[in-house]
Amino acid sequence: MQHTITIGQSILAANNEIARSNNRELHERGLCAINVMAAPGAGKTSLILHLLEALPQEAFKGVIEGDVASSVDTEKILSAGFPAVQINTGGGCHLTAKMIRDVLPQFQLDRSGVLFIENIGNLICPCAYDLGEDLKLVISSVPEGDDKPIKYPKIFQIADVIVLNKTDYLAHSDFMLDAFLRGIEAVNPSVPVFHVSCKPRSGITELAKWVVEHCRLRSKP
Amino acid sequence: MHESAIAASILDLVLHALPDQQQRITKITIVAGVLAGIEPSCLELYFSELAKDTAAEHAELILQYKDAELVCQTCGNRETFQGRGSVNIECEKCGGLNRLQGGSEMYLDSIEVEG
Repeated sequence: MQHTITIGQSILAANNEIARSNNRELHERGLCAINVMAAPGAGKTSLILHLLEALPQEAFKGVIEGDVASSVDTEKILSAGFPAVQINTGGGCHLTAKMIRDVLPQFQLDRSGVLFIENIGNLICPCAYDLGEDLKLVISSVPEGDDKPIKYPKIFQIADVIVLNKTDYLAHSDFMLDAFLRGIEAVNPSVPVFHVSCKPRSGITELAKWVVEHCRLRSKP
Repeated sequence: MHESAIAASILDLVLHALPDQQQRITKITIVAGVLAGIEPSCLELYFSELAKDTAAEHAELILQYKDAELVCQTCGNRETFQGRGSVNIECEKCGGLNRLQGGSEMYLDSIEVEG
């Protein structure tokens, strides 16, 4: 005899529960987590390094680095004097909440501040997996072209803040800033968009100020 | 997208939902928004491999897609977006800027069991 059982449960329920637990634990320690997402080479590590330097000195500042393989980025963060822990997925295309939960004990979370999570370079897969972060920061860079918001709508739609990086290339490319901003407005109206470059340094101070304001607001107990 | 991880989550959910482990699951209905990025043939491939020797081994996987919508921010006109082709960022009625909404859900709707 056949019968139907209605379930109505999110497929990612297990991940989302761990993400909520991560978020609670970080908040209890006064920490704001930022999930940094972008295509490979858009400038995630460079931007994180600049923000680590620009954010208040007395705050905790650390990074969870996600890559398929290698510890290249973790070594850069450690050389700059900030704590960093590497996750290698060995082929996985995104970080998961469980991966974050498993590495949190490796940090000395002794004061309030910011924990950056540099996700795997990918404009598609990280969208579905909450990690327990407070903010989703999406980077798009000028050399990638101005059509990314309409080609990869989901990641731009879920962003809390969007950073256009490598603005120093604007003068040398046919990137249309209006087209880029219009595409963002169609998928995520009123999301803040910051224009930055890492080399030479530009726009970082304004972005850091926004991060401070939004982390303070979000991680209030 | 990473259908292997999605297939594993589905299998886990359906096996937990089975009231009696002697029963067999004959149908699994998944609802996925067009922006959730699930490719059906990939999902079926991974699911059939993972479900071998389980109560879901011969289950038929049914994927019901939910469209996203483009809603004009000026006149409120609605167009469906089925996940492929261009995102029409301009309203076909008034030329105003559209807003992309919905199409992101991904949930296990129901299972059919026998036995």
